Amino acid sequence: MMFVSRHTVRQWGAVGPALVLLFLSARFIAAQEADADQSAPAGAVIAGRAESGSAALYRLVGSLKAGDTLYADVTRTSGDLDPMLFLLPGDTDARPQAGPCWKPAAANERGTDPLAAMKEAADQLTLAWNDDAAPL
Amino acid sequence: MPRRYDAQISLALPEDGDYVLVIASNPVVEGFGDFRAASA
Repeated sequence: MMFVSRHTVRQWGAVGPALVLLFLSARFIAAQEADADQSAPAGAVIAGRAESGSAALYRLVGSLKAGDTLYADVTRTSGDLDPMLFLLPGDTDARPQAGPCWKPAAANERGTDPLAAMKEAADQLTLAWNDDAAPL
Repeated sequence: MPRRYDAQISLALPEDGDYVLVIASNPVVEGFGDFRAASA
């Protein structure tokens, strides 16, 4: 398996937990800037920087087979970053796209807990996700 | 229980092919900083 590309998307617009997940759906988020792709060696530890309203995307390619167990973890090394980790199908179009943004207020107006909405969206849109490795 | 600032996933892949791994900052916290990530 290899990390073959990386780009960072910034300025998602309105920020909210479900916004992160809708960004991952690559359909609803207005993103305005993307850094150049970057390669990384297979299976290596990678390092980067993240900030509120940004996400780093790595495309994993190689001899990934059904039934293989993929393990990934991310740990903060400085600052007050609270990282979130998502795994998506390889054919996901994660390029920045213009379009309407989901806002936390919208969930509140519907009487929906934004955190519950985020979990529901993550469960539907991703293969796996985690934002806190602490045991439940 | 104190909150931990890391994240982990482990998944038996459903099919052959490529995947996309995304690392994002939790927007609720609005923090920033460096990270280290590993995959196997």
